[in-house]
Formats: sequence, C-alpha cells, structure tokens
Amino acid sequence: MAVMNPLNLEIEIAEPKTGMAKAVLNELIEQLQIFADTGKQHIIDLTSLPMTSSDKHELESLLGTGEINITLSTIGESQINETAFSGIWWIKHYTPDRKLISELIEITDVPAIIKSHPDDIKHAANEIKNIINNDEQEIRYE
Amino acid sequence: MNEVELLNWARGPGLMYATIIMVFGLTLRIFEILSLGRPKELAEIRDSGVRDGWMTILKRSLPEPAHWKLITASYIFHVGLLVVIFFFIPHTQLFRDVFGIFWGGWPNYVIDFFTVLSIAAMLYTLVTRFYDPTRRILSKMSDYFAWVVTFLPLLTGYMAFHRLGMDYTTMLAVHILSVELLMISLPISKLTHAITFSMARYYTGSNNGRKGIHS
Amino acid sequence: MSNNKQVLASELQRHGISRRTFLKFCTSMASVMALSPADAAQMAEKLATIKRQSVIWLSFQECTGCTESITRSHKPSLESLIFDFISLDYHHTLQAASGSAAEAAREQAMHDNKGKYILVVDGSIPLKDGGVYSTIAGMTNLDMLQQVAKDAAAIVAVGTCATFGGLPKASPNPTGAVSVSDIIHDKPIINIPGCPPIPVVMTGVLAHVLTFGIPELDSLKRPKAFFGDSIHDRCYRRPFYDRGQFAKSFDDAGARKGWCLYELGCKGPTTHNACATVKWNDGTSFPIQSGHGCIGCSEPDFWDAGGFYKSISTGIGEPGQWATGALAAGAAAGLASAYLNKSTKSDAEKNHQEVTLEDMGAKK
Repeated sequence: MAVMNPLNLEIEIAEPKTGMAKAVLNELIEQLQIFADTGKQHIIDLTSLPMTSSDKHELESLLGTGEINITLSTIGESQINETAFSGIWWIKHYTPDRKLISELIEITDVPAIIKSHPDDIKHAANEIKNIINNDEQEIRYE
Repeated sequence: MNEVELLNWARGPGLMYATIIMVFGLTLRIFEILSLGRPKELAEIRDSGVRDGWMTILKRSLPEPAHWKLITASYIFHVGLLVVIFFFIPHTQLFRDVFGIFWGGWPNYVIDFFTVLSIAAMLYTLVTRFYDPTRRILSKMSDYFAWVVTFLPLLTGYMAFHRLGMDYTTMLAVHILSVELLMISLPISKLTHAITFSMARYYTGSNNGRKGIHS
Repeated sequence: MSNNKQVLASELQRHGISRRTFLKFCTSMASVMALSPADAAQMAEKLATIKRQSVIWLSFQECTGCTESITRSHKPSLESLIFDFISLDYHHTLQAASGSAAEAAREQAMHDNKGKYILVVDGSIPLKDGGVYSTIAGMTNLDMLQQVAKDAAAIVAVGTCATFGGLPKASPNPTGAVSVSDIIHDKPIINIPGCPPIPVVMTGVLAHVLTFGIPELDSLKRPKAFFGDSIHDRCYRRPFYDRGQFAKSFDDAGARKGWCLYELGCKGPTTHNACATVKWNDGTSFPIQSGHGCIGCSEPDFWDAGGFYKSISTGIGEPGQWATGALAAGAAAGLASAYLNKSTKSDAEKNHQEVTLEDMGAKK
C-alpha cells in the first residue's frame, strides 16, 4: 500500500459537527411542550436544514430508538420510527432505488401517513361487498 | 438594472472610476503641497526645526486631558476604521488582488466588535458636534459631509454582513458604492488628512522651530 | 378486476399509486418547496383531481443541459410522477416526431389548449441581424416565442439563458442574446435559473403551478421557495466563514478540513439557489460539498462577474493597473503643477521690489 500512496496523503471526508443537532433538540423541547399543552403538531423538515452527516448522526444517536418501527411498502419504502422519546417520530421516505428523498421529525401521537384515510375506509367496505357478490356469482355458476 | 447588475457595476466600472480619481487626486495633492515649499524666511533661522517637526507629530497625536472623551471617541473610530478596513477577510482579498500581498485577516466577531465600537464612537462625535456650542459654530457643511461619507461604509458594511435592511446582494452593492464615494471624497475634502496629517504637523512644528518656538 | 378504480382518481390508479405513495410524493415536493405539511396534504388532494396539463417546450440558444437535467428526474423516482400530470406536447429534443410533423404537433397543441397551455422555454433569444443566429423550421426564435407565448397561460423560463441571457449574452454578446422577460411583458413569467437548474426545482415549480398556481416570486421572478435564500445562508460550511477559517488553496489543510471556500472565489453569498439544501444527483452532493466554490450560475451575468476563483469582494477588472495608471498620471500632473508653482514663485521673486523708507515718504 505504501507504493500505492507514496505521498502518504491523509484523505478525510470533511463533514464536521456544526452544533445543528443541539439546535434541533432545543426546538423539539419547545414543540413537545406545545403539543402537550395544546395538541398542536409540528414537523421539522431535516431535508431542508443545513446539517452535515455528522450532525444527523449525532441527532439520531441522541434521540435513540423507541418501541415502534413501521415500514410502509409504498412505491419506495418509508421508515417510521418512534424515537426513545414519546411523541417524537423520525420519518424517512425512500425512492424505489433506496435514495432518501425526505427526512422528517414529526411531533405527534401518530404520524398522519400511518392512519387510514376515511375515503379509503369507505371504499374498503364497498370492495368487500364486491368480493362477496363475485363469490356468490361464482357459486351460482358452479 | 437589477441588483446583480448594480453589484457588477460597483465592482467593475464604479471601482475603476473611484480608484482612478482617488489615486490621481491624492498623488496630485502631494506633489502640489511638496512643490509649494516654504516661504522665504526673512528673519534669521534659529534652529533646523527637525526635532520640533517630529515633536508636533507626536504631541498632536496624544490625548488632551481637557477633551478626553472626544479624543477617546476619535481614537476608537480611527483605530476601528483601520482594523475594519485592513483586517476584515473579504477586504484583505481585495488588497491581495490589487497589491499581491496578504497580511492575514481577523475573525469576523473581532471585526464585528470594532465595527460596533466605531459606529458608536462616530455617533458620539456627531452628537457632541451638535451640542458643544463652540464646535457647532466651527462646523461647516464640509465637516458634516466628511462625517457622512466616513460613516456610510461602516453602517452599510455592518448591515450587509448581518443581512439587515435589504437583500445581501443589494446591500453589498450599496456598501461598495459608499466606499467608492469615500474614495472619491478623499482627495477633494478634509479627508485628505488621511495621508497628509503627519506632513502638515511636521510642517507647522518645524516652521515654528525655525523661528525659535519649540514644541 | 380493477379494484383501484373506486379508491383513487383515475390518473393515479392507472399507475397503481396508492394514497400513501401520493402523500409521500407531495411531502417530498412540499419539503423542497418549503411548504408546510398541511400544504402537502392539500397538494395531494388537488393533484388528484386535475386534468393533464398541456406543456409546450421551446428550446432556443441553449446546450440541451437543461433538458438533460430535467430528464434526470425522469427515472423511477417520485419526482418523475410530475410527468404523469403533464402532457409534453412539443419538445423537439425529446419527441419522436420531427420536421413538419413536429411543428404540426405544436400548432395542434396550441390550438386545442388555447389560453391554457404552459410554455416552457430554455435558451436565450438572439436579436442581432434579424435573429438569424438561431432558427427552428425556418422561423426565428423571436417569432416562435412571440407566436407561442400569445396564447399561453403562463411561461416558465428554464435555465440561466432563458431567464437572464446566460452564456450567449456574456460579453461581447455576439448574437445580441436576450432573455424571455426582455421580450414578453404581458404574460406571467416564472424564472428558474441555473446552469442547469436543479431537476426537482423544475418539477417542483410545475407541481406548484398545477396545484396552487404561480408561486410567490422575487424581484427577478424566481420562486422564493427555491431562490429565497443564498447558498451561503444555507451552506453547511457557514460556521467556518463566521469563525474566519478559510481554505487558502484547494489542497491545503483547511480545504481537507472542509473550511469555507470564500477566498477561493465562492460566489455563495450572492447566489440564490437551493443547491445547499436540495443538492444534486438525488441529494448526493453539491459543488461546495465536493470542495469547489459556487460559481453563481443562477445569477444574471454570472459569466461576467469577475473570475470564478476571485472573491466577490475583489474588483471586476484590473484595479492594480488602474491604480498604477492613475498614480503615473497624478505624478505627471503633479510635476506640471509643481513647475507652474515654481515659475509663479520665481516670477513673484523677480518682480519683488523692496520698499524703501523713501517710498513711504520719509525724508532723507
């Protein structure tokens, strides 16, 4: 290897910590209090914050992992994890080729994307009815 | 003209006109002053006047106890101006580009501190100019003009750095234009003292010395 | 059986897109557009109900880089969904038809969607010598732009050439290139500058136009959501700028530690774009993260704003030469003035007459 790297260059991926993680934590404290008092939800869009990868790792390790890990099988997966702190959810949306397209911290009891949509629920009932009707028709043909 | 074009004008043609007027004007001034020489001394010369010349430069730079507040304020903004002009890193880049030498810059918070201090000191000198009856009578429009053209670059520079008032690009353009106004004012106003103050003091001191009045 | 039919709007179910996928798409769109999460849900509702929007894309004096860029978002990604909401009726690089068939498609789309289609333009328009420097199907760019713009609902100028004149307009501007805004004054115009623009910024703006209409624009007609902040304001290297830690060359210790690139000519402070947050190549990186300063490609006249490797605090041109010239001229004028002063003085001495007591009337 010495031959391969005769100048003994130190190659470093320069993404230092900038203190952003602490700033986000302070915002979380404030917003948790607001959510507890008024029920007002809050979302921090990590994608649009000037965070380095080290900042993000720092924040992730500070918040830890909680009891709930949910995977959405949409076009491209989504990971929804509650952190070690109740009410703080970490959401990662991926494309089908596993590229991270958005990363959010949601302060809520249950993230909205998990809940079934009222319209979908109505349609679900109709669909089951359709299945029963189809089955009955098939039985009749037999 | 949009803000980018304004900035490009300030950095290009604007800077060119200002540089040419300032350098030409100041050089002309120095040649003129030096070529005037001394008037013929009709009386007997008592002393070379060299020592008195240097002493006057020194003495007039020292604080005067009677006006210590004003002198302190003046000191602060003169030193502050020098620090801000020559040690703010973006400024050092301009000097490096022009002169090819780089003497290192100071961190932004140091520059910020000196800027605020200088702004405060300059405001103090303006206020006393209004309230002190003697100085108010002595002040002419040209004095206020000199104050304004010196103050504007400080203020606009501070505002640009802290993203106050206008969009940064516009503010930066305004800052550069205000500096260009200062550059143009240098040879045509009392601000010429920036390069002539020691010459003038030496002249006065040595003239008196030659007549036997020692500093 | 098409079970999905009842579940989602027809355009979506055709592609088998679930409500959650759709919401996810809108969340990422809202995120890059700095909209609130509430807007994401609203956007999802609206996009589900609209008709496919007719889009005519005209390419003038350009390098096809903008088209290359937008098609980079056209891969199996959520951003590519935007292509399901528009009908790209004319784009002479991408469409299969060519020659008179292509022009016929353009005229058909203009006729069918009169007053409703969106016109996308990339490239600048040459005006010199009757506009002969760029023609399509025998028509000058100027004529085609005016003809198609007449019945457009809105115009989206894509890339620095269409928005500000770009590289063709760089001094000495041999073709007399101008931007779309220099020609069209009676239509809403959205400028999306960049050389090229970020793909998701283009698709994001289109999504916004389809759902909430024309986004909020700045004084240069750029959507504030993407161009509201400067690169510098959003740069992860900003703390180094504030501390005065600068890389002095591209390979020094400071550069390896990721210090600020201001002294190496970074134009981040005066450049408005979303590179620092949205980034490039699916959020992989952006120039500053790769160790090179921003060149300011999304600002007007970026090519004429001094060198790419000179700080923005330096002059454009040769201040050293101006100063030297002025010094020489000042010295020459000073010598001339000194000579005049000297002769005035010697004249005065020559004409000097001593006053005697007799002159004053004293008696001998």
